[in-house]
Amino acid sequence: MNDITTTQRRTQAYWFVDGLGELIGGAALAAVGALMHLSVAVDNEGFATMALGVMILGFPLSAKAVRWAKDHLTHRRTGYVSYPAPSARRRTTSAIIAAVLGIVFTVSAVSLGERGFDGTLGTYMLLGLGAGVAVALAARASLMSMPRFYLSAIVVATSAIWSVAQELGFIAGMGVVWIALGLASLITGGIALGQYLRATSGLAGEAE
Amino acid sequence: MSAFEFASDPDRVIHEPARLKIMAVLSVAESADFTYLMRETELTRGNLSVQLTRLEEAGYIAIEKEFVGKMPRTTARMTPEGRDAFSRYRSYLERLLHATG
Repeated sequence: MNDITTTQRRTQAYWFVDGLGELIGGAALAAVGALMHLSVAVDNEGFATMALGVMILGFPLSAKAVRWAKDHLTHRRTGYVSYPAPSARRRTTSAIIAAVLGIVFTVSAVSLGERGFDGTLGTYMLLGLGAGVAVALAARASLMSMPRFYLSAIVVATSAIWSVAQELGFIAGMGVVWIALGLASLITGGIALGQYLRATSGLAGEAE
Repeated sequence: MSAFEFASDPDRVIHEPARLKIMAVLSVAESADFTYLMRETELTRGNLSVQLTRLEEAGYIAIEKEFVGKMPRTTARMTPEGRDAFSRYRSYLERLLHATG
């Protein structure tokens, strides 16, 4: 790898250097996972509604919390970097893929009589989503040269397989996967933050 | 075309190592502030200011000053001309490496 590529990768990975995104995002993910799991475990749809509420309100709020924490900690110590927003084409493609997958899964579930995604289709969906998230995390670990994301990838894959083996069904199984990923993120984010604070202890308030 | 012909052809503004590093950072970021660039390039404040001014004069970057709370923040972002120049410079390097085998 040449110096230009090394500098570019370090800059792209800078967002993750302090672990704040994992800490705050991990807490939100674990909360959503716990509510999803509870909605099935105690058969109370109120928890599912709360999970949806956390996803709709909690995720944007946690993103704001990450930016606030970075402004008050990271940017003062080691500087500020902002990243380009995804292109309109990329956003449109993602939305189309999500819509197509949603329609395919819903139609399949209805035609197979699996309205709760708790049969064979739900099992494949759980395994597919677990594999997809694990691959995305492993790719991030490789591209950013941040091995801690391999741990998160392993946790996601393992928890998805365990949920299938326990025949939890899709909703409760995804709850377990999000809890596991959330807790793993809290641990790796905490370690990353500790390392960052130690490495930059003399730099507080240096920013121009 | 020979390697010697390529060697006389780089964009002199970007060719300087410190400015090349600044351009490499800004090529993957929307913007970066003075503190980050200083750490990444390992330049002194004065030297970084000089290099940023040189890039700004060439039209390759734009510099903005703002306040975040009570803290001043100086940020640099690459202009479309800067992106073109950086892309041309990378192509130049690749052609040079290819020509010298």
